[in-house]
Amino acid sequence: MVPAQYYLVLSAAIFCIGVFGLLTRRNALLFLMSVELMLNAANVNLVAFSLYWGNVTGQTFSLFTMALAAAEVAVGIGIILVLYRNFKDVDVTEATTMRW
Amino acid sequence: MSDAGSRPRLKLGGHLVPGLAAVALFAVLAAVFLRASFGEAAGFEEGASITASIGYAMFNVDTGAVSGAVVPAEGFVVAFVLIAVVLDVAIDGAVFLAKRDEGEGGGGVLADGGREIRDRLRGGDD
Amino acid sequence: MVVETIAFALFALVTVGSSLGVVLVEDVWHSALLLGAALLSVAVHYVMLQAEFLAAMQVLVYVGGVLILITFAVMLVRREDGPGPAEVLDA
Repeated sequence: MVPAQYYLVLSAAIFCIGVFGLLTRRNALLFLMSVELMLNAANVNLVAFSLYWGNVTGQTFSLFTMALAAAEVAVGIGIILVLYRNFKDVDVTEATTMRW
Repeated sequence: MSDAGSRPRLKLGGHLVPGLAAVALFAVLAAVFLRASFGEAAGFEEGASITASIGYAMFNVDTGAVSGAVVPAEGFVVAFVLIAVVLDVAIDGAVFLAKRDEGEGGGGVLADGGREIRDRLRGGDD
Repeated sequence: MVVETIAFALFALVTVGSSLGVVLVEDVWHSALLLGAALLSVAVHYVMLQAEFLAAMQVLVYVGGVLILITFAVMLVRREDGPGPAEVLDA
């Protein structure tokens, strides 16, 4: 197989792209997509080490991560739609009425 | 929008500091990962069914009683139940958030910091 | 071995490229499409890691569920002043 370091570097790249998206964009939907990218990076790591150590724990755990990501997206979409209904926009810097 | 159509355009500029932060994070991670050594890859056991092994791991099946090769793993049945509860809570939360205001102020979430109630009380003259 | 490395490099390029597209492209709709490409190429990585079941789950859960939800949200929250689908078709 390809050395595990390559997969580590790949997942680090995806994770950092997700961090970059979180830091730079102001669209709430982009936030959701960046979080998906970061979760995928974690999954790639788990699956790579699952094969590397001949143990299926990593694959099982990444299945749970997928379920968690789906739940997170369901709640996130609900929050974004409420945000859009109340502010007529999905810019996360607009919603500041709870700021002290 | 004459010739551009819906061609994707990049949104660049004005993100120097976050971009540098992300690139620096990647540089640190890559330097650490490429210098680490993990020894030789073990790989899965020959002839073992990986999907079946995932199923055994997920429900804590005693693999000693199973015929054929099984990839070792830990038990996950507690995590399975926890995730089931979390998914239940998530669907409840999604339904609660998606519920529209029925009539005046019933149901739904007023997540505008009380702006709507204030406008309604003052007659919307501000 | 060499073939594996070449395939890995190719699909890593696809994954990183489309992930970069997700965060750099101006239109959210294009971001959603590129996110689909990134998720599918991650599924290809799973196949290369002998995790066929997880690859199937990745396609079903992410591309079939999460991406559809995100697409719905993108269509629902499109701004009025932005280039909506109707305006693009008219131009």
